[in-house]
Amino acid sequence: MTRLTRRTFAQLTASAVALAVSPRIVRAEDDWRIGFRTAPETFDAELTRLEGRLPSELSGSFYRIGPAQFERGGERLGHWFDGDGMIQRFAIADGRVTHRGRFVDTPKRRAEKAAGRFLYTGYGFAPKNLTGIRAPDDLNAANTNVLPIAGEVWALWEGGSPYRIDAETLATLGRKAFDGGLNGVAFSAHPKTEPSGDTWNFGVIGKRCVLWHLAPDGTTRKAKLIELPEASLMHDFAITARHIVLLAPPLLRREGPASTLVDSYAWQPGKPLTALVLDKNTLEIVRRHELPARFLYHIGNAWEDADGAIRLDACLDADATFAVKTARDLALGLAQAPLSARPSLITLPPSGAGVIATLQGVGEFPRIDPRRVGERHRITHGVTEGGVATWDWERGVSETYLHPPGTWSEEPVFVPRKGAMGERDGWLIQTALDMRAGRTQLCIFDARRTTDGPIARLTCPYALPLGFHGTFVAA
Amino acid sequence: MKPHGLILFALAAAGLALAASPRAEADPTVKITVAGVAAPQGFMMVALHDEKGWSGAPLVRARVPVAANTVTLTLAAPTPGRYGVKLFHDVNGDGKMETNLMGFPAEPVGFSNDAPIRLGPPSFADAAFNVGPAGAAQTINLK
Ligand SMILES: [Fe+2]
Repeated sequence: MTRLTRRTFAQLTASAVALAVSPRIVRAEDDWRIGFRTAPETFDAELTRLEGRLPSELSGSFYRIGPAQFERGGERLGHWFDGDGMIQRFAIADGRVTHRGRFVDTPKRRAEKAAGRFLYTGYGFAPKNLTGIRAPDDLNAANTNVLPIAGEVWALWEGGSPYRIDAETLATLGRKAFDGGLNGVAFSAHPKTEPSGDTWNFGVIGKRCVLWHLAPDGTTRKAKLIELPEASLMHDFAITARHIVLLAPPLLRREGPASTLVDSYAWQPGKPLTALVLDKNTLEIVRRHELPARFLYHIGNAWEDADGAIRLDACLDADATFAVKTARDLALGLAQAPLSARPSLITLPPSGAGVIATLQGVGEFPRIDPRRVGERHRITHGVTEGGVATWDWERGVSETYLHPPGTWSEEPVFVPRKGAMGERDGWLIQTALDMRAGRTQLCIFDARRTTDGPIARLTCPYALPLGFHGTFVAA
Repeated sequence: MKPHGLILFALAAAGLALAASPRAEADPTVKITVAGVAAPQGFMMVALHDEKGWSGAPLVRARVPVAANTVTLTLAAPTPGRYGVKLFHDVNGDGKMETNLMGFPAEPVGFSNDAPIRLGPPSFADAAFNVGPAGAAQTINLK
């Protein structure tokens, strides 16, 4: 272990003792429900400037995606993760930003539109009139993440195929049909594109896990089906230079009838958070580590350290309340809950269990410099309650900026400055819902000075539904 | 590694028809209409099961060329009773139901009563229908 890393651990462990107090930004008078309203079929507008100015070097498309259909035929959607996906594009050029939003045109959306009611159960919602399905793609909501690949943007979901989207118009080009036996196989919403341009992914249904290795043109280099030791609900994964890391929380498949996917899993706090380390070449499990029981959605990044350990950062929660309760309450408009996940650094030594060190404060939606995927990173950016945070894993500190009260902030995406190599030499782009004005803002930060707040803040003339993930494609 | 679990979807599993002799005057014939053919090619692979053999070998099978968007056929039930039908559209005509790496069907499937499929075949209870001495009729929509 390097001196630097040892110091990191001392600090992180010390900071973990401090009680994290997160500010409650959402007040009673702030209507967070406007973030969970059905969007119109299309959005098209130019943003107006509220403060600061856009950096002239920043030019490209910022894509985001999230659920945008929250009711049909008088029935309210029962879980945030099950809404039809709408893809957003903020086109940034010459100091101007134009926004466009389009629903992903899936068979699920077509069928439900034609029927005038919800038909399918997905992650956590079972409508009153349930229709059967043949394969997972029948209920693909294409609502979770966006992957720029092969000149297109793929709209991703967790249990089925990507949907191919035109990068300019956002028109749906069709379902990505992989060759042979890979057609319709789960392609998770968190693929990792490494510096070589190759993309890795996983996909899980029960104990069946498919590992994907794609070429930059979107074709499959390799894919393999493995059987996991346990059926755990996994949302994200990580790669290093040589390994794949799966973090399986103890939200495990249970026996007995269940009306939705998430209800067929049960939180088992007596069981560990299990890290499975796979060899990228053989796609076989080579190591297994047991960590204290934690739930997670998102991993920032992983790397191979000089001491033989794999290190990765993730936002770890005490349990799966968000999946089984909060995400339902949000969609139903019943209640919102403060963020509870904690940015954490996990060490997986070559042998042995593993260690979790947690930073102060809460956070989610961790994102790193895209050029460092699978390599050692020092900095992760993420959302904190009502703001944006930058986590420094070497210094063991968190820097945060809080938006004005009444703001619900979303995932920040780091955009490197052209020609610069520094890990913080670039911008953070973040959307934020101003609940008081009922408008979605686009905020640009200098990533070297997160705490200074945005260097430019623009606003759409409307509120967008709150979304999940985004990506920036430079012009 | 072999996909498992949904292998039950493999409707083309080998199995001899165990047809018993029908009673003299009874004609327990099942008239089946299959609707929703997307590509009029290949064969409709149809199987009649009783409760005991729902997850196993069929009692009667049929393989009918598909040349239109609707296919009609008949299956002779061995005796009046309760039965279920499983079928798939063998689009490429290779005699097998295509599945992907995870075991999900890659060719259209259908079940009697249009019994709902929830990432696996429906239960016999959902797919079962009565075949009387004068037979029965079922319209099945491909999924
Ligand atoms: Fe995610």
